[in-house]
Amino acid sequence: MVSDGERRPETTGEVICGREGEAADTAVIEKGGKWPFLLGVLMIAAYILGACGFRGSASGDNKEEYGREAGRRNGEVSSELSYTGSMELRFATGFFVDYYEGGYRLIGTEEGRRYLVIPKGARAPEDLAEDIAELKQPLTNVYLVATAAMDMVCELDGLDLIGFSGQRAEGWSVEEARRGMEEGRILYAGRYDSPDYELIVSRGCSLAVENNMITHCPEVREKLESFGIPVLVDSSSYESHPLGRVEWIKLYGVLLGREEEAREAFDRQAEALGRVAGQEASGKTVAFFYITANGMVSVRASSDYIPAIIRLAGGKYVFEDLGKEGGRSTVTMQLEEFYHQAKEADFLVYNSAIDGEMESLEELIQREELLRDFKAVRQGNVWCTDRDLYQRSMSAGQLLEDIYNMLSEERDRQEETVYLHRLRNGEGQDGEP
Amino acid sequence: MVMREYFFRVKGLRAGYGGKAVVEDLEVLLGRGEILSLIGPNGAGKSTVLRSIAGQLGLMGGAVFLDGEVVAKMKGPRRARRMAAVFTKGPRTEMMTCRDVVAMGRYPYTGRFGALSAGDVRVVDEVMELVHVRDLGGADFNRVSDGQRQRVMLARAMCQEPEIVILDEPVTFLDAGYKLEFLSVLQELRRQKGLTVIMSLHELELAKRISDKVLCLRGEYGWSFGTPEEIFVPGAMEEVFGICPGGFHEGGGGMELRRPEGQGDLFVIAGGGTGQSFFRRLQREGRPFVTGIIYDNDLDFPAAGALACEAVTARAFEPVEGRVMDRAKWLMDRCGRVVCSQRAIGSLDLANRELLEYAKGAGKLAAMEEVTGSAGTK
Amino acid sequence: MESRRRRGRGGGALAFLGAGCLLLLACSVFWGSVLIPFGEFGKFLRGEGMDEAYRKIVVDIRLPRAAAAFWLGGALALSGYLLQTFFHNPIAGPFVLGISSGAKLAVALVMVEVLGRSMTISSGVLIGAAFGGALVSMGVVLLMSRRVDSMALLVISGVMVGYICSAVTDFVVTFADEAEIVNLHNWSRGSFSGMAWGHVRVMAGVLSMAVAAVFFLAKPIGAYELGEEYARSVGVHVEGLRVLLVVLSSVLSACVAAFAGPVSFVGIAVPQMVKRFIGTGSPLWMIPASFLGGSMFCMGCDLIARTVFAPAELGISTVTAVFGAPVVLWVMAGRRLGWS
Repeated sequence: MVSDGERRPETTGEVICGREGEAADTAVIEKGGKWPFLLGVLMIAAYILGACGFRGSASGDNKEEYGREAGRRNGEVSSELSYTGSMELRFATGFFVDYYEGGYRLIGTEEGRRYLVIPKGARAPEDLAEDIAELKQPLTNVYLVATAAMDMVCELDGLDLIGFSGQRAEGWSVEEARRGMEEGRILYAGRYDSPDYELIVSRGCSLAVENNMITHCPEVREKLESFGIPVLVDSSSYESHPLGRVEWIKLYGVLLGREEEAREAFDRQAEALGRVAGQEASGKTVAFFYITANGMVSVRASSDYIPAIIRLAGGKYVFEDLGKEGGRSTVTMQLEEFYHQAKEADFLVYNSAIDGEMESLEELIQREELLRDFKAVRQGNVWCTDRDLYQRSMSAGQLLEDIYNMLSEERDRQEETVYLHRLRNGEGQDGEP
Repeated sequence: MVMREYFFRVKGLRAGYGGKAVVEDLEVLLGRGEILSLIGPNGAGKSTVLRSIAGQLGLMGGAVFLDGEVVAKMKGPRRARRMAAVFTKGPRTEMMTCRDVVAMGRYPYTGRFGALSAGDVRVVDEVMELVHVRDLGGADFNRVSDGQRQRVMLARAMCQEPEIVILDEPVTFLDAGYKLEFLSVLQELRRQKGLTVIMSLHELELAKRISDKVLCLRGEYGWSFGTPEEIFVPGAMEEVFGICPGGFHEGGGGMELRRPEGQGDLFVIAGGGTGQSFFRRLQREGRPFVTGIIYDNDLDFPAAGALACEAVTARAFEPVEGRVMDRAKWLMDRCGRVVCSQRAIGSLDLANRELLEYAKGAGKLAAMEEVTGSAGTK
Repeated sequence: MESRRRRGRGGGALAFLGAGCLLLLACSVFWGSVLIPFGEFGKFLRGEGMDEAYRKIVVDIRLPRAAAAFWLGGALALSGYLLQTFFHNPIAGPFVLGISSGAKLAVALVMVEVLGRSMTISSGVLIGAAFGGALVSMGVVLLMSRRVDSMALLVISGVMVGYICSAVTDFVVTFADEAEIVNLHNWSRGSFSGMAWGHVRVMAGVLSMAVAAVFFLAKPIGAYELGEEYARSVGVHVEGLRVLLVVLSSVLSACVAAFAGPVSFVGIAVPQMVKRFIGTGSPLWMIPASFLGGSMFCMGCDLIARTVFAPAELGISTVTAVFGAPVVLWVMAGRRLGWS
């Protein structure tokens, strides 16, 4: 028997296999119900992880609430302590200090954390509120990561309370700090994101002073706190008033028990403001910047403390309303934008913190050809900061005077600058075109 | 012809890829223990049909029945216990011995984690013995020869204890020896286990010999199904494969290359099977020729028909008709030379004897070596 | 295929790997940047208790870190094994489907949008975000796998997803502070520093479920070794298996990316080493062996990373690359020579 299949217009109608176009995947062989089970596992796992995240996360709202009022209410601290007053802060907004009977001090920071400084010999109150960390004086073996704090600690002569540093010896431009590390009195304890916990725990540590970078590695903070080491975040760099930064020395004064010295140090810097404040504003425009590795220009946000200093010194910062969103302190912009805005600036100040100091205009122009066209370059009014300026947190007042002097355009005044120096131009003579 | 009588049935199958069908309304009926070969030109859809039957590809229409059950409705493991497959190329494996590969066939029977029980091990041993790969057990699968590898894959399929095995061009890449060996193993399995086999083959000669049934796919939805005698009728393969007439002889001659162009100047007296190789040599040299008288049962008959520009033929076991003789002589007159491939013409072959004398008389007889370009061997 | 010899070799190998893990665990406990005298351990064993600081170091610093390296190293190797099987390709790694790029993007977003606005979060948020980002990458690749039949195309989709995530990350980072850029860069180098028992608990929970699921898939994975066609012919639901392999390997790698950041080479090198060590590719052996092999490798590398230059730490990926890259090269050379 032979069957011959030719193309037929209709099939015989009994399509047993099933629906027309029961598509290519009907070769399907049924599988057990593993899918839903596993998807469920995934959901649960993701949920668990997310839930861990929100356990005890301090939200940004605390910032508003923390205010001086909040700390003051006795019930929120301890029934044993009686409030006697608060520290007067002229410019700083990032922290507060409340005084209590018996020498106790309550420190509160911008993120909503609180610390009770317990004077030597005294004991901690029994019913101290849960969230308040105890700091018994004298503090020992402090782990100092916030570079801004070192200058202040040295100013207060408190270096012997520091046990660990987040930088190697060579990384410090603060002389005493470097020497302390070289002589082994202060140990390098690893970078901020991977500290040597073993070292820290083995020697004991009463406090870790970190900067804002720690917020990006919350597990480090959690780990330190799990060992009973309180973590204090120095957010002085977020202060918008330059003297606000400097005023943080008062906080360190409280921590180290040198409140009087702190006050005096602050006042000295504040005097500079006094000297300068009354003068006429020169109205000269200033740009503060540096060139990044990939050719962009990094400038300060208008609300940052450097522009504030410039304004206080009587100058005018070229960028208005820059970086309003997000509370950033620096803004990276394209070269043409910078060119457009700063070409006619009277003064250019180059920030040497990242790539090092420059001495001559030639170096600057080599960096970026376009700068040749700038008015300040043509007139020889280009200055550069000293490298270690950024570690000199106490320097705000001096920097204020320096900028004031720079803007004054008086030769002798300009030579008195401490943290700024003018870039030589090719002819070897300072500033002569 | 009731469905129940047949072990394996394809009804109204429409198969294809991505919405495009390559075959439509296919009907196949197989009894238990029969071997079905799928032949046809490339692109006609052999692989598609095989894969559809084997459940690798979804059906676009129609149904496949195994012993009354719809194959598409069988769950994977159940189907695997009844139907197994061997594909053209063996898989690339890492660190697997031949025995490991064969043991994979026990998948539908092993437990949760695939560990082999004593019973499984026994089956593997038996199968390997049956398929003659027992000695290869410990060898690395990648290191064995192609022929051995395909047999190992067959053994693997047999471990599924299937009632039917589907093979997609299983011997295409094997040499002649391995081809035969593989097919004999299949026959043995059929004999010993009552195995039903469906396979696609390029080798028409082998298909003719091994198949109980043949399915020929012609392309353009055309197909024929039947016994080898019904499918391999004269002219059928030429039509299916687009070979020029005479190029394929179903009767047993096989394939011949193209006839030389032009008028033949050479007359060849052949017969008894002696002429074939000479015809082919002439074909290689591109020399057209005429030949006669060839009896229709002679071994030279297919080659003569395919290669000579004219072949004078006669019925076997009957006296040669006069007009046939005349035709032969007339052709001989028009040729310049005559050769004879037979050493000695048989005493009963009166017609060819007469032709030989006629050639001698005309002074045209020459030796084969003189006539051909290359030094020939007799 | 359980011939007695095979079982012997496999069992021996597993025992060796297990012992290796225990040994490395002990080393991780004894060694660190602070030298703890053996006498202290003796005291502990005698029941007298250790010095408090030492106890804290061992129990709260070294042990959780070693445990994390154990779990995450195993997860990486197992994920690498699954993907190498899935793609029939020996250099597929746990992040080939763009998992780490998705995690990095999520972390970048959190750092720039949340932390950049001076809000504080706990470590769990970063971990959860990284895990979520990784799973989103996986989801996109799964969607692509439905439309794409060839394995090569699937790898390409994974790689493209990775590139897209990287591009978006770069975009996000353009508007970020230097602080975020530095932190993101540090995150993406991968590290086991700062692991706490809370982390270990969560990862152990998730990973043990994933590993158990993989174990249940050992049989179909074995069938898959012969190729998809043969697997299907033997009754395996290949489409479903594909999805499960992608999902499970992604969960394994996502866990690693979430807790420790992208750690390279473990997933590529270890399954190859282990396969040659146990002498068979059978999944029943490879699954536990890969896991233990990865754990050993990771624990060893982390130990080196944190002790050699203490108190500074070497990046974990640096150490794994130093030991892992030669292995990958050797495997490639071996394959070329061994194949016709």
